[in-house]
Amino acid sequence: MEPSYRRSRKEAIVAGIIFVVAATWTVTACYLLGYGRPVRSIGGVPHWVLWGIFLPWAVFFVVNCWFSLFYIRDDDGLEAEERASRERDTQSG
Amino acid sequence: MYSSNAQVWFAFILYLAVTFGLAYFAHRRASKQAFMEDFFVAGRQIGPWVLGLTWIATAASGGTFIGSPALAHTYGWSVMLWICSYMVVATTGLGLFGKRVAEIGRRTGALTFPDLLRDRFESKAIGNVSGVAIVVLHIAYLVAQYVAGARVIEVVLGVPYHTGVLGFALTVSLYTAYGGFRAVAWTDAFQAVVMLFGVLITAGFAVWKMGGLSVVFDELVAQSPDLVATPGPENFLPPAAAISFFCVWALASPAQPSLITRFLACRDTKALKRACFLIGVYIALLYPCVIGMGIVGRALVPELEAPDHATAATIVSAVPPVLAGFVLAAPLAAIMSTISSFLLVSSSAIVRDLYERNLPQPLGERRARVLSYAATFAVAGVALGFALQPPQFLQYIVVFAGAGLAATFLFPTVLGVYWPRMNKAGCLAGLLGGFLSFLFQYAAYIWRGQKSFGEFEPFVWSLLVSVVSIVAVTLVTPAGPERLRQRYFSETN
Repeated sequence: MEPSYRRSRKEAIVAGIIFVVAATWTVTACYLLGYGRPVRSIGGVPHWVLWGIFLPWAVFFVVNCWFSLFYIRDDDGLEAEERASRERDTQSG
Repeated sequence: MYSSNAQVWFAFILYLAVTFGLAYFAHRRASKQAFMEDFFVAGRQIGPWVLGLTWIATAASGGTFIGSPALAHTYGWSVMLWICSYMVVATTGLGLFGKRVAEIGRRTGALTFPDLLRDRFESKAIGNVSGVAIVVLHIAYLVAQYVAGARVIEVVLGVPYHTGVLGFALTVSLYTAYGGFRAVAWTDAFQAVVMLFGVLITAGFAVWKMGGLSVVFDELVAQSPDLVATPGPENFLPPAAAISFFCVWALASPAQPSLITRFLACRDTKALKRACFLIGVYIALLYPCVIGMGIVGRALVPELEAPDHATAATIVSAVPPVLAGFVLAAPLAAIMSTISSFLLVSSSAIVRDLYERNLPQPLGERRARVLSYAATFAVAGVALGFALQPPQFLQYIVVFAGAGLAATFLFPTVLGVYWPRMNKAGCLAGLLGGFLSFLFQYAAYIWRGQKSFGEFEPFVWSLLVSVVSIVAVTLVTPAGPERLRQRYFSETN
């Protein structure tokens, strides 16, 4: 299997896990704090929004920064190098 | 209403002038390169800033600026839960699709989204089914955008609705046909900046005018305690719907063909990474403020003629006239950027996927040019015809079209680019299973009032039908040719 394909697949799996964790946190927190329960205001924001939406949003904002800038690998150069190396090997062999 | 305010007209005309100026420069640059590749993917030379901004400007539509605040105005804070999965949309969009689709596009020369699927499975039928689904669902999407644009102009500039719709259709078709993808991407980038500043200024002034968020909270509770609670008034967002919409926005948005086309146009992975970061920052600023605008608008202007007037009414009430003209360009920017992208993806589906790829030889450059222009105006004309009868809530059309596109394309695309065993029959089964089950559920609701099982959105069940169809049909039919596996997954390529 091609290295860039393997790497992209791994990155896609991590993106999928991030989605599942975000969905679980948000929906569970809003369900437990919000649905059918009295609402408190924290600085004008309903408490279920603060803990169930704004806090995870802040966390997943940081996660996206890590994912985009550090986790996704730039394979373009790597692939070109590997192909050139294979071609050199083929020619010399 | 600002209809008599010269500043608003001045800002509006200035905004249009900049948009047409960018389209003009894009056209001049485009004319030196091969027409089809340049018109549909800008020669695959889009860098991180333009990529990020055009992606977000396409994703943020009239639905975002007009429909979502209208819902927030009607249903209060529960709409924040309804839309909050945008918190991970940059990660899912670029992580699931972006890098892999861009790599395949560079390797195979795919110009459109159906190109990608057609070549992956070497199937004309897949290209044709994708092309038809794209044209049908994008026309529905375009109708919502035209209505949104005309309503803003109606409230703000006092232009009658039908004149506004016609003006919108003509203006955007002209610059899209004239400059192609590069014009769309450049004007999108400009419009994304206008959108962000417009929303930040409006939300800031609206909260300031009310005297702070706590005052807004008390005012909403006084109007109806349901406005600060979930599921919101009239049981707006029961738990099953909350789960459904978390899936709709985080998974449906990135699976839109108009957004996947942007990955085909990007220069390299480095540009993609930076664009992903930029999109995350932009969304974190934009979406809470857009919904906040509707929520604060409810406290500022409780009574509206139509729910979709919420954005314009909030701007008119909260923002000083000296700034209002520029701020009012924000919703127009959102709508125009989405219309231009949808027009282009629809015209490319007609010219490239439904016509050229079914011919024995490629189209000549002159004929391709004429047909692309004609298809752009034809799609705009059809959507315009439907937009002359406006619906009550725009956001419902946006949800229908966006979720329909994702139900059709999400799993055929994801599994197509990651699962070597997947074959042509599996892909067709996934496309048709997703598309038809989605239409069937909506038809059952419209004609019989029958909701989907468990009160989940139809999109969720259609996704399941799609993925099960792909896996089952792929496993019971022979694997595709070995050369396709080699081409897409093997390092010997």
